[in-house]
Amino acid sequence: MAEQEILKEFEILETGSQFISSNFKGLQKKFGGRFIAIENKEVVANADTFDDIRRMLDVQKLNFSKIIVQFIPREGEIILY
Amino acid sequence: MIFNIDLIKEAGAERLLFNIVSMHPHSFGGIISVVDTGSPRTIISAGAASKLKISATGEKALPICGFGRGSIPCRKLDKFKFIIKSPEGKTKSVEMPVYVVDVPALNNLSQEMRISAYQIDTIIGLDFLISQKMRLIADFKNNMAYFEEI
Repeated sequence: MAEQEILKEFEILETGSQFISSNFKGLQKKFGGRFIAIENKEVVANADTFDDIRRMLDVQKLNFSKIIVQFIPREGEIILY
Repeated sequence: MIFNIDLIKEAGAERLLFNIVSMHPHSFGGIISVVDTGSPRTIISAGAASKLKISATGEKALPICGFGRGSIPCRKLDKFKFIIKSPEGKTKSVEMPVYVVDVPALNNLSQEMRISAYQIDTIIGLDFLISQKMRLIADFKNNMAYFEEI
């Protein structure tokens, strides 16, 4: 895999993780308890289940492997692993 | 060399997010993971395994490993290759054993279990710190966190 492709992948991740960390409260208010799909600092889909997100991205013809999918916990909900 | 970690600082939702890029054969792609020093092992989530088609089929079948709500089937991958990146854009290749959620087995479980399992992020556990000889710095007051090679 070319170094350029790897760095491009990191760019997508960094944009996504910084978007999540900077906007977490707002995301929680709007999408708490749901899965969201993020592309270029924009939530392009949200759904109750991971499978539904995948289906929605398929319908939108978005490249699933290049989209960040994240579960957003509800406000006040603490997730322990 | 250091490797930056993003912080979520919201009260009650504090979290350390760390980006990795999978170089596993036929499974190239990015994963946002959660740094969890309470976990002894690194675990590739159901979402990441499904999205990047990281298959553990053929690898060591494990008993159910317990994390999250209830137990989730997973398998051990003896060699998982991924890349981490420094703030200066330098990359470091990592190869270490990880656990991967067994998506085909998970799909045989109840809808409730599947939904619950997919809510769990990829976890970077203590084994990453130990095997890669890293220290973890997390300074929430100054909004700064990173791994540093020892």
